[in-house]
Amino acid sequence: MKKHMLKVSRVTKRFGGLTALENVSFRVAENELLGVIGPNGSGKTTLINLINGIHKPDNGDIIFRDMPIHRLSSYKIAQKGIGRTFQVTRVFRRMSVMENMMVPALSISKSGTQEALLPKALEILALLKIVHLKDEYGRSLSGGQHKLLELGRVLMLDPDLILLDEPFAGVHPELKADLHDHIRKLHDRGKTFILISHDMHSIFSLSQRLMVLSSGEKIAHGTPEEIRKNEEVIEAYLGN
Amino acid sequence: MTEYLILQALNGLIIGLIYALMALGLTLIFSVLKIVNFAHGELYMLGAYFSYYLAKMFGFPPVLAVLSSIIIVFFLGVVIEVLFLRPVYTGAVERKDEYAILITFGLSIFLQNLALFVFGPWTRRSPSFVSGTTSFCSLSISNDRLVVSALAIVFMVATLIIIGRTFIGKGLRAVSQDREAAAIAGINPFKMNLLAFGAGSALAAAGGALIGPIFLIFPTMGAMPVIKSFVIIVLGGMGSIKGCIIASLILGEAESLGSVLFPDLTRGLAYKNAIGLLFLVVVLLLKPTGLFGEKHVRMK
Amino acid sequence: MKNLNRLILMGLLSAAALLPFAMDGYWLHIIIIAYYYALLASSWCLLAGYAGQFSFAHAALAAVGAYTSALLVLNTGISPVYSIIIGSFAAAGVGLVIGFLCLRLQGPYLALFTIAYSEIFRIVLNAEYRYTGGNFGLNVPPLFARESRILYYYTILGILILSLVVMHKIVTSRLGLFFRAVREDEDAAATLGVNVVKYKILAFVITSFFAGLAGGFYAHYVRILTPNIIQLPQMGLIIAMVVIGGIESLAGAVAGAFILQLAAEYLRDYEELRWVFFGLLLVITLRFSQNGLIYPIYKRLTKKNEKTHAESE
Repeated sequence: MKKHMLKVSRVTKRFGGLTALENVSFRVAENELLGVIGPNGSGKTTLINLINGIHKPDNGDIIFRDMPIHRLSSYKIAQKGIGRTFQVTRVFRRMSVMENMMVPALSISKSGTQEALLPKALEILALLKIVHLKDEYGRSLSGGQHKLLELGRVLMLDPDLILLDEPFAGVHPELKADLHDHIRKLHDRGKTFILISHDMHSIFSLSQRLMVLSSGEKIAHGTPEEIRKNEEVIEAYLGN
Repeated sequence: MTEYLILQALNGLIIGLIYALMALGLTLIFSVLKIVNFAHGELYMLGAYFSYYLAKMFGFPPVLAVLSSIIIVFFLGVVIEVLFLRPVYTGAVERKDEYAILITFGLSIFLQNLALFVFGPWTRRSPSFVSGTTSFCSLSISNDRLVVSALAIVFMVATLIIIGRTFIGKGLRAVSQDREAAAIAGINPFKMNLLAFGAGSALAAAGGALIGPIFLIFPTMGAMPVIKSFVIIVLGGMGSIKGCIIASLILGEAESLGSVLFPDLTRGLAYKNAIGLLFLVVVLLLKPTGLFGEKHVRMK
Repeated sequence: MKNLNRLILMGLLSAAALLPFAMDGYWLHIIIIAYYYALLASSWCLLAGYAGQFSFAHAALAAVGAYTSALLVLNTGISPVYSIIIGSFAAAGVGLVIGFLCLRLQGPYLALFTIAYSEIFRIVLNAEYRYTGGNFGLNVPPLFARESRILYYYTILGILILSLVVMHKIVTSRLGLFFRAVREDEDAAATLGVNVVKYKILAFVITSFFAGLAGGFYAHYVRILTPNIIQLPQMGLIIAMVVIGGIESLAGAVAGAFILQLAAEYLRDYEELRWVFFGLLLVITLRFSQNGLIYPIYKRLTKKNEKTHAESE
């Protein structure tokens, strides 16, 4: 068994009277690619928001490499090596693509200058095939390009754990294939992923292990094959 | 002394009613458009001037002058909405929150200076509704103040009935809760914006037109009341109608009685205007949703 | 583009340096006041345009600098040179408190809070007339013993240039980048490792310092202070200068300050009508050209130039 990178133990989060997550526990090993699925409102995005510190859990703890992070602010968690993308992309619209890339790069390197970080940014943009857009403003990019830029920004953080929230939603099939490639490549290079997606084909083919949430509770976990056969999961999706 | 106190309390009530009219307009605009109208004081000022000129130059009876002025400012509000605020909802402008703040603030500068240019810096007073005074026991109150209070209450009740009981009111409330859902249900949110801004402006004008015979009319007369209405909508919970009316009456009384009870009279008068502002600062810091409000409203 | 920029800059600097020899005292005074507004406008531009904090307290922060410095000199007799610096730090301190208190307030809430703060401060200055002179005004000792307008001119010119250099450095450094990231999207910035709280507060502290500096100079130059320098129309003037100049450009803000101040002087005969015109200009600029009037013209000019200089870039 590989070493665990992230341990989420008995996490509960409520918004007013609504329980978004109830007593959810799971672990993510180094260099694992964990998929999280579940119907709308099952708490997937809340889970990511808790891990990266946008929300604080009401109960339970989240340990990243032996360090509790559930009380830290978002920016500290990011600096410790957890990056994320958003379901609805949140590119800095009135900043150029290169400036978008520089924000995370400068935030983790206290002494780095923009010039010193430029080659790395160009390399990542080239990898994502958007290097020709480097001087364009965020607002003038297409939806798919926003997705790529978000991924690029996350890579500038050089995180060990990457949280992807619906990376394939509303994405052109060609771009989707590219995104698959990028995720696989990064995974091969040693990055760890938690991936949320409604795109069953993508998530089943990419994930090594899957976790299923329903109404804020974890109802199943296992390999894609096991999940495919799991009665309870089918119930959660098809039943009421 | 007790008579003086009662008189001050009555003054506070009348001022509170005028505040309530103005703040009700601001609340209506905020809950539907999610915009704080920084030009509200100028609409109040225009309401006063229009009413004054209609009565003085065209010989309208005072009450008719007030009503006509309200209608004129309603349409002025509609024009402002179409020209300057609609872009917020059609996506024609970026930074919606900031645009809305700056554009209404800019309009306030423009209208104030326009009034200074057109009407001049002199102070004026509208003709009385009913001259003379009425005595209750040993207290005597000017008839104008009684009429103003009565009309303020009538306007307020009419607004509440329109919002609470009519089809239009239903549409306004629906849009204030959820624009998209309202649009799906067949309510045109643009029409509701128009109505809300027009009606909100009209309420400000009503406040100004009514104050005309009691206080003085001048181009910057809206500056202080508008800040009072800001205090009220924050206190009342940004968008809550009930909260807004309660907060208006509290503020009117707090100011009238507060200045009397302050030990040093000259400073008491000076600090009178700071009372509400302190409320505002504290409420924003401790409970940004206001004393009577439920949830934090912000433009998306 | 760099060449053209440098050329324009050199031209402007030499013009500014030679101005006192070409103007009478009255016009020199107008220009000195224009520099004062340019400092206020550019620092508000940094706060609102770059960091996205639409505060209405900027004029009040200038007043903090002005009154602190004036009262210090009057009560302790220290040199205005030191008191102006102390006043700037006092303004920065107030900016720190405002920034801290306003962390959770956005959009209209921040506007309301800062308007309320400004009004309260104005009311206190009025009410405590025994110390502040209230509406009668506070007589402030001059910055220089010698009655020389040229001395004041070069002083404020120096202050303005130095401040602009510092602000330009900030805007082009990581600090400026983080300010803009926070303006665009606080949550996204935080998830990319930006300490949002720190940079929001820092934006208030830095820009308040410059506002206080402007206010301090103003106090010892004009030599009479009234609480009216906080009134909302003053703030309106600063906002109009920045918006018309271009809200995302320090140079635009400076140009806006200059043009409005000079236009107000040239159009003096039109009295109120010029303010009607400025109000209209502000509203129309906001509605139809959100990047201001001056900045886009400048952009277009340099863009033409850019093509020919593309290789040298």
